[in-house]
Amino acid sequence: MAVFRAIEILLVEDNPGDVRLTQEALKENKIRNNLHVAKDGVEAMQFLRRINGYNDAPRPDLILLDLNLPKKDGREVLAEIKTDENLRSIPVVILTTSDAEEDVANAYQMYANCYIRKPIDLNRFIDVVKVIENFWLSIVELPPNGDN
Amino acid sequence: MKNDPAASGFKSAICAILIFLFLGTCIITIGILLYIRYERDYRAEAGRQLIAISELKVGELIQYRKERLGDGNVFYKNLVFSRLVRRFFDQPEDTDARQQLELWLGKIQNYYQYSRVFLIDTQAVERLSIPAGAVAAADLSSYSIESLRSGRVSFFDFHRYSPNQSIVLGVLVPVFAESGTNVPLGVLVLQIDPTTYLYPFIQRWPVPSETAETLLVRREGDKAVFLNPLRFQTNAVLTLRASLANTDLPAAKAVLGQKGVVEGVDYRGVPVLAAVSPVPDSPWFMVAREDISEIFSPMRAQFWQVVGMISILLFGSGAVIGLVWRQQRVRFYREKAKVAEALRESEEQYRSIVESSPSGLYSYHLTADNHLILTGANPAADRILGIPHLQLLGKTIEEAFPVLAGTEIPEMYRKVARREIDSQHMETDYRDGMFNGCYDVTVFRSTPGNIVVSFRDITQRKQAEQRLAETTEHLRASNRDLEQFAYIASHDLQEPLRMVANYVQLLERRYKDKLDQDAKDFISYAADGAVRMQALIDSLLEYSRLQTRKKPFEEVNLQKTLGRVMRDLEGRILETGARVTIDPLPHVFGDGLQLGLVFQNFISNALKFRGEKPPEVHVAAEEFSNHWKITVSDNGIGIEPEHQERIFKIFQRLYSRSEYPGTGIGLAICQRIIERHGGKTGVESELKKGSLFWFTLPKKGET
Repeated sequence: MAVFRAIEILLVEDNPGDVRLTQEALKENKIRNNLHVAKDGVEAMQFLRRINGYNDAPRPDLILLDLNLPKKDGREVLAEIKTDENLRSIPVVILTTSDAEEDVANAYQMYANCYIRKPIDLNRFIDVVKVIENFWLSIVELPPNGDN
Repeated sequence: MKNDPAASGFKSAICAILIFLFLGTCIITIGILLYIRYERDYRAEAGRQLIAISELKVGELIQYRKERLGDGNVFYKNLVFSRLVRRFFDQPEDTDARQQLELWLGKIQNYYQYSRVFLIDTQAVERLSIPAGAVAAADLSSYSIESLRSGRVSFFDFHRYSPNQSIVLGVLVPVFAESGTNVPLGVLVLQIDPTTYLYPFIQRWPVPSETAETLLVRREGDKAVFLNPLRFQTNAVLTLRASLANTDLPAAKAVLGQKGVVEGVDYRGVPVLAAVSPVPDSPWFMVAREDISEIFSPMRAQFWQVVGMISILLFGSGAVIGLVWRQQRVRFYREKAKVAEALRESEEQYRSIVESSPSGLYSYHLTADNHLILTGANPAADRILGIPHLQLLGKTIEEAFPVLAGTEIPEMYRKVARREIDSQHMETDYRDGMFNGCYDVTVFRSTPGNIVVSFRDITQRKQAEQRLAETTEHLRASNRDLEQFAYIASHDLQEPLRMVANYVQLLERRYKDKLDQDAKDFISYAADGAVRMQALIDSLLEYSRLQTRKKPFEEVNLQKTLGRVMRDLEGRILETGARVTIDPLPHVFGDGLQLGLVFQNFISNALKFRGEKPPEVHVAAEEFSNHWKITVSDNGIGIEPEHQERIFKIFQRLYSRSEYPGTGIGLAICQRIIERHGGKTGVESELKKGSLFWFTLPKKGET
């Protein structure tokens, strides 16, 4: 049986309640993951570029990005990622409370891979995380079979 | 002036007279020309007639003379006659010779109607006369001698025979002895009495005439002697002699050698037309003459006829022209009266318009020295400005309204009056002692040099406009704030709401086994409240976006819009077993997405508020003159009349969420959309029977 290495996930979210909720939802899933949290856009970019104390940060397999962030807005973060040669291949899932049409349109215009409104129903949130997992499984390559 | 009746009448009268003069001249000229031509023809005809008569007579006279000479020639150089005359002369007692002569000559005399035939001897003694009668022949001696000398048969012309003063003429035949031609014996005289044949013949005129006659004249020295009795003078024969110096006399003209038709004055001193010609082989001249007065007497009738015709034509044309002129005058005056009446009515109308106009009116006149004088005003002007115009009339604009003196307004008015600029329209605002307010003023030129200033007090309107603008601005600002608020609120409100809901649910999920039923119920209520709260916030957001996300209007095919909505609602329709029927729908002008939302709300409501039977929904359109009415009717639970107005208000519900879920914002959204499109919404409903929701939309292009 194939053994997956842990997925490296970067969650860019300023609301600790949401961070915790995401952690809890991920716990209920079978996938092994390493969740890294950046509290604002600036921190997110430092993590991604491995600067300012993030020298050893892993390259995330998936970025969960909230749009409304302090310091640097989620839209700017998305734009920077998608214009960076090294980062643009990382899938970005937008998580937001707003389903305003212009936000959706903007996000897709900046090559966001997925756009998910944070549901008010916890069960649906857990479903969303499951969707993300499926999504991951559909795009990630199986690592080389070295440890069995 | 163009309508001055006197000048116009004078002009038309002159015109009529000129036409009459022209026509009259034409008629008279044509008449005269006709008359002259006719007269010329007539004169020529008369001349031809005279010449014909003259030639006829001359011809007959020539013949007559030839015949008479012929009579003489019977005896001329007649041996038998000569021998007989000699026997008679030599032996007067020879009765046989005498009887033979008497028999012979008697035959001649009788047959040819000679008045007397007689023989004279060389001593001019009469020897034989038939009829017998002792008549002295002394007068004839000279003729006899002449005749014997010439030795030829010849005429002796008219002369007065002395013994009885009668006029005679005749033929002389010289008689010679048979042995020698030059031995004269005597002369045979064939004496003619002209009264028997010649005079009547000459005097005969072939047609009846009062004055015509034929004259025979001969020349004697420088006189013309008349040879036949004259019609108008007795005892003229051989006694009336006219001097040849009197060349007017046709007889003189004839004697002097003229031939043909001549005009002249005859022996009576009367103008005549005459044909004159010599009678060949004779000393005679023929004059056939007729009085001009008689010749032209038919012409006079003709003349009067022509004059009469001309008069009738002149009178007729004059009468026709006069009648036409009179007719025109009558029409002219009638039209003038009509125009005057129309003018009076029009003036009356304008006066009443001016008097009753709600706008103040001032009329000004621009004088030669460039002053604008107030000449009139209407009651509205007095009412608006509160100044009786009677105290302003006749003043200049600056005197009447000192407030205008320093402004450019009077000069502008003058320019309008001088036609340098067109009518002007302005709104002026006065804050001084005389006027306090805002006026809408129009100045225009009425007639040359006159202007009318029309004005209305628009102070209140201006103030209202001002207030309206301020209110609108306030409203706009507060709307903006409200939308901003709604947007921010709906975003920021959702975050904590989600926290509450999610963690309550996490609590239930993780500690399900350790919680009793009450705790589970409480958690359920809390979560449900949060979900509802989110629905409300979403609806609010949607409502506020109707304004912020509006799109420009375009042509919308409602049929297609509804089709799209029907596809979205397919699931619900299947689920409820509804039957939805749709009539043909029009094209309108608007926002297709928003109109789709209206259909969606109406049809969703119909499905939601259904009765016990499967829902039946019908969409229809009704055309009106300037708008469409779209209806969505159902067989649902219906709405009580007293609640029908409430349902379009935001967050107003008639039923509890447990009966019919919903936020209570759908119809409010519909109403707002239709209002944006310039239409209205409404509902007609009966409880438990069904509802009919309707909205109207202006027709394409009419907003």
